[in-house]
Order: sequence, then structure tokens, then C-alpha cells
Amino acid sequence: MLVSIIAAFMVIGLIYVTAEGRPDLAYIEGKVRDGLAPIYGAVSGVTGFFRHWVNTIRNYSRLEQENAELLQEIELMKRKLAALQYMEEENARLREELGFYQSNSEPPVAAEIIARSPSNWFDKIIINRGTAHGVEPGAPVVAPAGVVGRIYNVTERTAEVMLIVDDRSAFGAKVLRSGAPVLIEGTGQGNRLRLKPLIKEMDIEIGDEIVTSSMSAVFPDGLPVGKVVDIDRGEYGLMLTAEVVPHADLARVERVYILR
Amino acid sequence: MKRLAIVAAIIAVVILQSTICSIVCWKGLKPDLVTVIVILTGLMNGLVPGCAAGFVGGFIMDYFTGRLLGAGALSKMAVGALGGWIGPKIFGDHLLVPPTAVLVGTWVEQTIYLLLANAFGRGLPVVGSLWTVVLPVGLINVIFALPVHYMLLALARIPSEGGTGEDG
Repeated sequence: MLVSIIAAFMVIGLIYVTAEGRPDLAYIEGKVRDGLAPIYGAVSGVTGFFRHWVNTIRNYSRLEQENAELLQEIELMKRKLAALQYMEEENARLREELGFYQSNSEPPVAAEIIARSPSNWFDKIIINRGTAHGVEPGAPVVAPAGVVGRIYNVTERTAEVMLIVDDRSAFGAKVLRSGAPVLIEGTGQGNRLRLKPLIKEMDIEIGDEIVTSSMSAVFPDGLPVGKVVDIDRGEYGLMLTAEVVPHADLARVERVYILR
Repeated sequence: MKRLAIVAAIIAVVILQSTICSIVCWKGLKPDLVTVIVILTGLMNGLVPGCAAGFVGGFIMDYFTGRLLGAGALSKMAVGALGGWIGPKIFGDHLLVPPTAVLVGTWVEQTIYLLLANAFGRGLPVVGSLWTVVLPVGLINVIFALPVHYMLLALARIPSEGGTGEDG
């Protein structure tokens, strides 16, 4: 009986201590995760291979039409890229003249997602890059569509990413149209973010694009976050909150980039 | 030997849940195969094995999840015990018993976990989560009830140390 009571208290204590997660892993835990990484990678690789071919067969006719459209789009993009390159050169020249230094000088690290949380309650992703590849805790993680999260803990060959939808995640952002500063919080429930205004007079509409702001301690300025899909102005319009759907499909994203 | 086989099966399904099941999921939800194993182990082997499988399975799952270490162990232990307690009363050879037990057991387990998570400050919406997570996960788990049931029957034929395959 006494042993059961002590065991129960120990378990409750353990739940309490680990409720917020564990940013620091013990040496042995890191080794276990590194050891499991090839297994995760192999299983994910086989699954990804089959999924790719099933999707290809299923979507063949659509892909053919999409291909033709994309070829046209590439031509358009080439022209836009040329214009952008010109602007980038001009921007660099002006920055130099003003004495600014160029941020993000180091190239991002590409990583593949090898595992996710086995639980339906808390989502996370494990990537196949770690300290051996220059990945550090806190580094921002992005996908081509938008921000994904930040590095939570890291081992030699893997890293755990805290997703932006995680209930512990919060970062500064802004409404692209109006420039109004906002706070973006994870809801911990599905593919949704919660937006809270940081100023009294908030100019926001459904469909507004949200991007990261220079106020964020986590992400560099101007990265796409998501789109506003619902606004709740609260009683008397005093407590505005909005729902944002992330641009990055966090449930399906397979490859991410770690910014340094 | 049999116990080791069950622990190995639990670790294997946790890896499956972290990889294949996370990619091939339904509305972002994946099956909770550990709970299926725990409920059926309790049902087939009794209260103590159900409890033990629940605690070990839940703890392994919690470890891989990385948060609230012990919450899953408690919720799965409770549902393993429930399966073990109710098993001798209802268990027969009827094909509907494992799926029904898995459906009800998963709902109970997921609800206990939700309440425990909130008790430790997670702030998950209770009513919303019942509809969006607890109920659908129960339905998903039912699909795996019979395959896991037959897998456990095959494991039961593995001889235990110093005994036959029929003992616990």
C-alpha cells in the first residue's frame, strides 16, 4: 500500500515537472534518439516513396494539365525573378551605403522530417539534422510556404521542432496590409493559430496576410505566417482575437529549412 | 519472453505511430495502437497484466511524446485495469467483443488523459476535444481491434519463462 502511494506521488510529480516539455535531454536520451533516427528515416522513407507513387498514379491527368500551366507560370516567374534580382542588388547597394549589414548571411540547413509525435494531443516533429550540422536550439524553422516553428531540443544527429501551433509557442508578427503589430499564439488544437492585437486601434480584416515582424525574437522579419480566417471582436468590441490558418501545411510538410 | 514480446510490440507501434500513421492520418488524427494493445491485453490476460501493459505502454508513449511523462501511463493503466476487471465477466469468442471493448476503452482512456492534461495546466477545450479527438480516435482504433487481437493471440502462444504459452 505504502509503495503504491509513493509510486503515485512520484508519477504525479513527474507529470508536473514535464508538463511544459523538456528542452534539455540527458546524454543517454540523445544517444537513444540518434540511434532511432535511421529507423525513423527508413520507415518514413518507405512510406514517402509509396505515398508519392500512389499520388502520382491517382493524379496523372491533373498533373499533365498542371504541368502545362506551370510551364507558363515559370516563364512569368523568370521575368519577375529578373526584376527581383535587380531590386536585390539595388537593395544591397543602398544598405551598404547606409552602413547596414546583411542578415541571414549563413545558408539555411535543409532537413527532412523523420518522425512526428505519436500522440494525438501534442504535435511536434523530429528532423534529421542536429548539432553535427550546425543546428542550435531556438533556431527558426521554415518551409517554402511559411514558418513552421523553432528548434526545441537538439541531439548530435536529430532535432525536435516546436511547431507554431504548439500551445507553448508565441511570437511577434504584423498584418501585412496595415502593418499593425500582433501576437501569434499556438492553440495546441489542429492547424489553427490565435492572433492577439498589440495596439488599441486594430486594422484587420478576414483574408489579411500575417507575416513575421522585426519585433519577433524568434523569426526574421517578413516571413509568411498565415491568413486570417475569423475575427472575434468580443463583447463591445474590446477584446479582439482572430483565428489564423498557417500557410505551411504542418500536418503534411516533409522538408524544412533551419535558418541560422 | 512473452512480456518482452509485448514491450517490443509496444515500441514498434509507437515508432509506427510516429512515422507511417502520422503521414497516413485521417483529419490529422492517427490511431492510438498502444491503447488498443493495452485494452486487449487486459481483456485477455486479466487485471494485473492489463495494468502493467498500460503503465509500461503509456510511459513509452509519453516518453516519445516528450510531455506530461506519466499522464499516459496513468490513463492507460486505468483502462488496462478496466479491461482486466471486466474481461472475465464479458469475454467470450464473439467477434464483436474486441472492437466494442476497444471503442469504449479508447473513449475512456482519451477522456482521462484530456482531464489529466488539463489538471496540469494544458488548458485544452474539454467539450471541443471530446468531439474532435476523443470520439474519432475511438472510431479509428476500432479498425485495428481485430488485427491487434489476433496478433496478441499469436503472442500468447509464445512460451513464458519456465511455463507454457498458455500462462500469463
